[in-house]
Amino acid sequence: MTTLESSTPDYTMGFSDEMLESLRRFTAETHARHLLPYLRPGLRVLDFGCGPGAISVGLAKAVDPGELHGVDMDESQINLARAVAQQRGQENAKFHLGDVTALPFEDGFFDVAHCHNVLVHVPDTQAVLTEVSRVLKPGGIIACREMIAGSSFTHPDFGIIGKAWDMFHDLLQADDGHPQIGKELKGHILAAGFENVRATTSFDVHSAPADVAFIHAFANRWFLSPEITEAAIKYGASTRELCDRIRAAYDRWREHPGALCLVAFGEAVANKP
Amino acid sequence: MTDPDSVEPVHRIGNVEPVTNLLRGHTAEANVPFLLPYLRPGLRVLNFGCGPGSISVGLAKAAAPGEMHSVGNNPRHVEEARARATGQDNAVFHQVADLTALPFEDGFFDVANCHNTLMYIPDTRAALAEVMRVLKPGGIIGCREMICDASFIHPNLGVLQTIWDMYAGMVAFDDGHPQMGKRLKNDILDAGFENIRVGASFDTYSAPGQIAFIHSLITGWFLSPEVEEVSAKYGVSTPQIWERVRAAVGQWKDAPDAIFAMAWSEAVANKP
Repeated sequence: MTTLESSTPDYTMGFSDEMLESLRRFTAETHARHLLPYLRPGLRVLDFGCGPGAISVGLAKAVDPGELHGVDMDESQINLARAVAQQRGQENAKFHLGDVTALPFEDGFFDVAHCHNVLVHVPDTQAVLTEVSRVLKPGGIIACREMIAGSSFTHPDFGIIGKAWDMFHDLLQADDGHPQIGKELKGHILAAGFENVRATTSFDVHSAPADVAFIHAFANRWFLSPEITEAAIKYGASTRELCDRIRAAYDRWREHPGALCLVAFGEAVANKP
Repeated sequence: MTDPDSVEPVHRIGNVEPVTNLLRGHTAEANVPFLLPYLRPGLRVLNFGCGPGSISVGLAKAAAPGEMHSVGNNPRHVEEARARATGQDNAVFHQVADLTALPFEDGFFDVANCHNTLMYIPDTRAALAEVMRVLKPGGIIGCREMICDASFIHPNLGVLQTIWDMYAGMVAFDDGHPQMGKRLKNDILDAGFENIRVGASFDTYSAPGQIAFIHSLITGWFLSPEVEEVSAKYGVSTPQIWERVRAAVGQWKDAPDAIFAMAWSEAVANKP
């Protein structure tokens, strides 16, 4: 597989303002709903691949005075997460620079481990899951929510926006990621030795005018930014002409009364034996 | 497009026990939770395309003592729905030949529910205009429609996802709309409704009992000779694919990572 020149070895997508804005829209209440019923005060929770900490702080609140530990491989994200936790007064949230395949914690340290949109980017799924299993207590809970690119779409498509999804899919794959991993979660989690898997699926819905404007800006300023399109062209996942046509189609899409963008996810909650 | 004398539309092919069984599992609480906050005692509610009435019962309870009128075009389903609603005196069932010509006067209803119905009606515009007609000004429409493209069966085992493609092909051949959920927002606004709120969800089948249920739906209905015959006539399949699907689905049932998901979009909007 091609290796990519990026700031991190396994993450192609960068941290532009638009990407950060998208990550900040994630909250525990909206994006970790499948896990919240299992959380209670006093539990110790790991958020592996925590990004800017928008979900982490909600998890920290749910287990307060228990500890939340967020881990991310990118220092800028750790700094943002610390700032968010400080702003919310969530003193039980700690953040660590680290690799999700070599976590800086002793065996059996956590009651719960959570990730959102992380396994989609990490090449070796089993390496992550076995490492997470190591730091969980027996009976501990793992909860993952990951994308299903093949069930995600933008409508109307004008015969072209679907190709943006294909391009996204190809880019992830070129970077040894797993664009359909949301529907494969149950199998991966069982293979890592977890049991009692409960698998579900859901959509993030973008339909209200502000959400449509957000997706338009996200497509334009992040996905169609030179940083991403150059990579896509280099991998043969797109051409300059195609990127221009996608940009024009997204402009039409934003103005369309029927504009809808659905991003599909799979969730799984399971126990360490 | 379809010659009515040569083949039965797939939704009539679907008039068999395993499919009715799937529909019986639909409830107001599980399938139209987005509409329930808008219901209150005393409202008059329409269930447009009621199937065997399992959603109607919940709607009738939420609106009682208001009247809940259900319409369906399948006599067997409507009869079953009546029996299911025994004791729910505010629930009335009507068997109609044509869902785009309803036996109600203008402005009769406060709320209309439509679950998995527009997908099978060729003229979406006519259906929504008819619902609009029987609603009061300010009345509410709630719809939930399937998105075959976003639905999946996993693991694919080399062939299983073609079940969704074949199903979508048959619905389209009958002048239905297999991706109706994608265009629901557009079509409801196009019909003149306003103040639209859109959601989307999956029905997920992954626990062992759920996998067994889907396996029996696929083998008992989709892989039946009747559906195979239709799929061949419509040109959406070949005997070779059918054989491969038959073999793979037996393997799928026992796969530890088996999962099946139907994708839907839902919308609530107001008549101006």
